[in-house]
Amino acid sequence: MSQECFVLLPRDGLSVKDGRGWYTSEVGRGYSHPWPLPTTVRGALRAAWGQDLMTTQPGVRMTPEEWEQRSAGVKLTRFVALRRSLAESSFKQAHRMWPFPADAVLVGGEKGAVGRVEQLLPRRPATGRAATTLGPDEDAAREGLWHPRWASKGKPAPAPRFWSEAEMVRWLLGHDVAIPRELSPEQRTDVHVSIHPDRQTAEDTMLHSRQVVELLRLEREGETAPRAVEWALGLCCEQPTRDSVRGFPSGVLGLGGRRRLTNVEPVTPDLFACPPEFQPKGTKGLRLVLATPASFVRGWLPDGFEQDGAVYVGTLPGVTGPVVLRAALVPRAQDVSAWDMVKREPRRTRRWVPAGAVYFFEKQRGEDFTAEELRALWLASWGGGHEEALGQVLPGVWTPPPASGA
Amino acid sequence: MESRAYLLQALSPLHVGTGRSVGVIDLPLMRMRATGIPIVPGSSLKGVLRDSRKHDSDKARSDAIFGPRREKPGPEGDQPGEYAGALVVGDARLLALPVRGFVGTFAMVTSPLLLALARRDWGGRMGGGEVPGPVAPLAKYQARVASLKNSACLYRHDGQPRVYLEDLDLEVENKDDSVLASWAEVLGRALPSEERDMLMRRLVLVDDETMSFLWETATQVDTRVSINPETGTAAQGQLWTEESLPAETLLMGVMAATRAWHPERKLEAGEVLSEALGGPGTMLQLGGKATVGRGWCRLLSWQSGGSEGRR
Repeated sequence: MSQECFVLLPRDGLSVKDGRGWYTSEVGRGYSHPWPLPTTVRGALRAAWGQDLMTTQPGVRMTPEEWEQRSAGVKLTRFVALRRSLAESSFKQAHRMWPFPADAVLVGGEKGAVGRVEQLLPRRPATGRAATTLGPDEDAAREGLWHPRWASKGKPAPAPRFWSEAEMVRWLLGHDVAIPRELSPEQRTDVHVSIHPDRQTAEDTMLHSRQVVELLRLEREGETAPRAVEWALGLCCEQPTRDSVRGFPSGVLGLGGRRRLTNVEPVTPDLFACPPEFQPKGTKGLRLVLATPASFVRGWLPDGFEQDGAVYVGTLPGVTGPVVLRAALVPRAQDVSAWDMVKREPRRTRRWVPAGAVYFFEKQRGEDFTAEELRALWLASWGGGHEEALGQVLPGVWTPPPASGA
Repeated sequence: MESRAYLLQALSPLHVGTGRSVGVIDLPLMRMRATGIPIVPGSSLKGVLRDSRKHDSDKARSDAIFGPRREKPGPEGDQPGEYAGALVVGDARLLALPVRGFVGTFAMVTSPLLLALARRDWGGRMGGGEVPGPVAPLAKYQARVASLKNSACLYRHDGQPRVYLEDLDLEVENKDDSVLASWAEVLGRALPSEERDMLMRRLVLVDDETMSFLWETATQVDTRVSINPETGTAAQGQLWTEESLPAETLLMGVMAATRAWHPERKLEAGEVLSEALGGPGTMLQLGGKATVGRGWCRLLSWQSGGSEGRR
């Protein structure tokens, strides 16, 4: 099995269309996901791998079915966002960008300014009788989950989409973080029209627009000259054992809607490793932040966690002993639709827990999570969809509040 | 996928617009939103390339390159195709903008950012071909030229060379820029032989801040009006302004291709690219306002001139 690590640098921006159809509004309008989905990227890699295979092995011609079957072994094992100055020639860990975690809240300061970053800390539920919900059998465990309570004054401000590596490491270690700058890629709308070849006029009903996410920006800080900054996708992928292609991927890659051209730059696996600055001490509580969306069988509830009385208990990769799920901060589910190129029909829509969701744990027997366990969890895979780099987590420390009377 | 860089040289004002605006200019140019760099979208170029082959008798070959045409407009035409087109056309981005000068009539102005993007299109980051290196950065409101001796745009005042671009008065570093000279030389190889020294004489490198000011303000803005045929006077409410890239503008883009997927036409990626790029200096009409002479461009590449154009 060969592992290739590289960075994709989309040249002209990306349009990764979401599930809304062209004809669901009065004008044909295509909306793009704000950041490409792992499944889109893997699909592009499978297509590129098949093309490279046919180019490098004369005589190989695959039918769509064969393509689907043989390229199934192309697996995405790492998927991170990157951002660097155009003047830099290589990517480093410091260039990594992580989804803004759901347990961080920007709180407005005076006169509408963003004042500070606060952490949402789950509190133990109040003892005694409380209202419960009607419905599924797991009520006791679900009602037993801890919820964060908002104690501070000030309105929450819109959160940026990404955090820098330095900010995320500080956050995971439980340190204060300064107000992050808004660094997300921008979007533009391209309008297209089809010209009739004989009349040379626009064809009726063929005017449509498409959102494009631009990955090149000019950023200014104060009075300084503008600095060109580029966003990119850092990937590791595995090739099928029997059919590996040397030098994969070769040349540029087509990615997203209209196969927009994407440059490929090789990197080493160190780019995805746990950073040396992440040196946690043993901790009573553990936070897991989703660095990529997660696919769990039962929606928000992590795979392998079962109700045990009034709590959910399960295991985590690289952690000794059972753990108790104390809280889950999960934003709205991400619905993902795709097209089956072989059957020429839509694939089944999937629901993912979005990147940035945060889960809180304690060990069932009350021990601490060790520093080694935390570092082992760096980008560990959780839930389903490992072949699409789904469910990769970032570990953070958490200090659970003492029990009342303790 | 195999790819090649291409150049677009505007021979008349080039208007590839967004179709609407809420700003001062009614019909502005299409630009990258985050940087403001003017672009010609790949879809425009691909459509024009395809249209230029509509009279070819070999329809299958054209379809193999550009993809099957939809049979019907609208929702009923949304049928999945039997095969995909082999050609992918990237957007063409501004590379050098002709800017009026008090000396030398006009200068071809570029910046470190535009050359860095062009370098990537050439595969320079991957060590591809004979791509010139990155130019050294410039201080704010400074300029450099390839050769002080050969530049057509310099004016010396008390021994200090300067360039005057529109109403900008920029100090020019009192030394030749050899890297910029290589850019002028290598880019010039794509141009027709009689124009090859144009860049050596007119290329001026300015800092990115000045360049971003120029690509916003040094474009051509024409005011036009409709004449009422009955009265022969301006029609009420029919005055508008439209923005164009001036003639001589250079833009750079990338085309890429796989081998053709058409069941009857087997073309290798290189053939697809050669077919799309056409002969040296293919003439095309791009963008809007064709009937008033806008958008005549040369499509240029380095496909026969050495390795620097291949990636």
